[in-house]
Amino acid sequence: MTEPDGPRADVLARLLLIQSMAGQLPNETSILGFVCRGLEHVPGVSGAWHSDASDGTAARPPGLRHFPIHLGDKCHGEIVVRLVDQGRFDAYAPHITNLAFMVAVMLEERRQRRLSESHERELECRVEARTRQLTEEARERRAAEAQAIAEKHRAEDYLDIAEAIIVELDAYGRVTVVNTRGCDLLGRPADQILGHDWFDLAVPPERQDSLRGIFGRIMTGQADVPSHYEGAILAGTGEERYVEWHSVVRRTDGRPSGTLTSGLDITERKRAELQRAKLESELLQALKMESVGRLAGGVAHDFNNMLGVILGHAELALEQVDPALPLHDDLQEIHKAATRSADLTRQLLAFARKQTVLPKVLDLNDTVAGMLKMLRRLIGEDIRLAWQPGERLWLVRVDPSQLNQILVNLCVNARDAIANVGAVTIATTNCTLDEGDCAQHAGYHAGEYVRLVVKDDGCGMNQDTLSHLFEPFFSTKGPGKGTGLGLATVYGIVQQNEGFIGVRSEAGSGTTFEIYLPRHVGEVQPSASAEPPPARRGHGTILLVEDEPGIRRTAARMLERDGYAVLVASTPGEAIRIAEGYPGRIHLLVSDVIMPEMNGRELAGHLVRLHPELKLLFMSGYTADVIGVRGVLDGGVHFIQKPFSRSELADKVRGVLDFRNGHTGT
Amino acid sequence: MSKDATLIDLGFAEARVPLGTHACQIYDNTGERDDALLRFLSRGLRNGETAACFSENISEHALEAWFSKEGLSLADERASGRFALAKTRAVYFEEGRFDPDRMLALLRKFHDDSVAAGRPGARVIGEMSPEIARIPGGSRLFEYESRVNCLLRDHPVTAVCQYDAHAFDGATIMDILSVHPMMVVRGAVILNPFYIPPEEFIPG
Repeated sequence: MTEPDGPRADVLARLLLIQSMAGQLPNETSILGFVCRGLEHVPGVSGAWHSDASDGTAARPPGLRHFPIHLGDKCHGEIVVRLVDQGRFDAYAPHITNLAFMVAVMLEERRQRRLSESHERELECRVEARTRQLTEEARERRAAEAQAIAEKHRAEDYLDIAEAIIVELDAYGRVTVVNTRGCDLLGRPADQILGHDWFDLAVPPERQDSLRGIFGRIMTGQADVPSHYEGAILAGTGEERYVEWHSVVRRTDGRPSGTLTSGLDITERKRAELQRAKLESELLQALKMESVGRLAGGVAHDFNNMLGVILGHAELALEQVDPALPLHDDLQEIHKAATRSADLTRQLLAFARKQTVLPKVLDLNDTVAGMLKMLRRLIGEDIRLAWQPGERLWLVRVDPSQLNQILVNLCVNARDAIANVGAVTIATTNCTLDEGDCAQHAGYHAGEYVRLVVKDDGCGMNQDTLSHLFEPFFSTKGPGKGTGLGLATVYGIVQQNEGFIGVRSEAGSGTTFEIYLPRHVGEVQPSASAEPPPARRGHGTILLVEDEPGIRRTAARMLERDGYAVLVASTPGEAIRIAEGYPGRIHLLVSDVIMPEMNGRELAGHLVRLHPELKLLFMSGYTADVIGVRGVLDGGVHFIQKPFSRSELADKVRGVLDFRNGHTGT
Repeated sequence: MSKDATLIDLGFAEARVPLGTHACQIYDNTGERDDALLRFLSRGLRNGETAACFSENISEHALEAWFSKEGLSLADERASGRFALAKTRAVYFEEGRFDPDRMLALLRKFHDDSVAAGRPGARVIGEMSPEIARIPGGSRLFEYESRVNCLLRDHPVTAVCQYDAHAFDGATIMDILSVHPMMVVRGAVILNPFYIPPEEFIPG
């Protein structure tokens, strides 16, 4: 049986509807199930199902119609239709074939869509995985960067708190790293140091070329960097600072690429070392001077005794010789030579601080002002003498004659240092020194002083000359021009008066002597009223005590010639025996100071008890502390320096005998 | 209500259909489902009809928002008895089983109450759950749907049955089509060529 009018419209409508709705179904199974169930509504069909078999050559049972579902080479099985009325069905077979084709299209589209979606999902997964990976890598990189930054900051903190200077240079000597200590020392912020040439920034100009050369050789491998070395750098203050450096060479690919250096500022240590060396040198010099002084004093003492004999006998002989005779001239020459020698020994004693001095409380301004006329004559007309007295100057206690020696010797020294015209300046000022001031100079002591300055604009002295300046017999002048004792004398006098002397000089820049004399708190001592010169001859009994035979004989003869009765003793014991046994009055004791058994002062003590009105005159070429402390006489104690001339002895004896306040035996 | 003379607007299709139309919508996505449902209900209520919705998936919030946009108040419609909303399971699987007779009685009452209230019509839309395949009595679904066609001849409730194309297999979907006289295809309501009248579908 067939469809009499061809395929029915409602059936065709179903087939179209199946095709339309099948596209909305979610999957292949649902589509095929929907289509197959729908085909059961086609006339002549009792059932329909989907079969995966696609081999068209397989044996097909009768009563079934197969409709392959394929598109090109893509096959999705086939729809199998069971027929109960093939005649009625045949009219729809072409439509079902079309339907199968559309199902194939649908399924293929679904497959392509699934593939595409699968690819998209896979791509999304890959993108997601890659994104995760990149995110993780980015996170790790950020963490690593953060850690690197933190470590950099930590390293910078370490650099900044380090007491040492840290500097890194590249191969061209430019600064790539500098820490806070380095910036502080150079006096610049880091941005004014980084990238700049180290040698231009920090190295003193006179050393830049040599250090740059050394650095260059290190960078080219021609030299090794010393691990430790010292050098000066220019600090931001402009001063040079000494730094102890420790360096290592940076290498890149085995080649030098810069240096990393740490440094410690050792300037203060260096200064302390230099200061210590200077003080040690000054101390050694002072000790040397002390030794020389003791030697000189010893020599002068012994020499003085001999000079005393020579001078005394020369004088006595001159009195007895006719001046017209040649012998008189000879004797005069002997006397002159002995006198000059006595001056020399006197200077040596002054240097050795063995002069016996009679200090007085003075206003230096008054004393110096009184010497200006003499000093101007001394230095000559071509040299200007300037006088700068200090205001409200403190008092000092000094033997005026010693002050005279100081100024004379310094002005002579200044005169000789000035070639043609020039200037010498004498100034006074009050001065208080503290421990800090004294730490810079050996031999200085804290306290209040009057400073006496003698300055010239002469040729100055170099360091070598300065180091020997106060040594006796040291001189820069030619032979026959000076004894070399002038400054030694000044040195000894200042030391004896518990002061100290300093000198500043540079070759070609003049010299300045600064003498510090201790301040005396008191009143100016009035000058003793001028007494008329005593008469040369006298009368009275003198007890002469001297252990040196030559001096003893010479002095005795001098005194006898002047009309005195002289009792002579060679030892203190003999003197006491003589004094005990002498029935008359002994007017004067003339005694050496240093003698065996007892010194002159002790002897005087004994004799005064025997002869209360006894007056005393001590003589010596070598004053120990027995007369006064450091040779400074107490008021009323009389002394005559050996060697002495006949007239000096006569004047002194007369003066003592006529002295109203007399002796002091205590 | 007279089914033969009255054409109504379903709300989601251009064409008007007779009162008491029984249609199925095989939807591909939830947007398509919700759009048809919301339009269907609001149109009926604006017509003055009684409306009911049986669904597991539509939220009251979405209904309220849609109704508000349409100038309706969900609360008022419910309070007035013009609108009923219930879950599919609660209505269809009362006591854990599917009973076609009970469902048909509910549908009949729904119609009669609407008439008694003087309303021009009644409409219902419900989404069947694929769970019915596992529910006792669930195999009688198509019997129920076919018998609805008989009921609606005398109790013309306009009914739309929604089925998820992803939840039911293709063969079942074709069976669903077999028991619905009308079907919604691409937003249009058309005569279903696969429809098998109940006298033929349920012999005897």
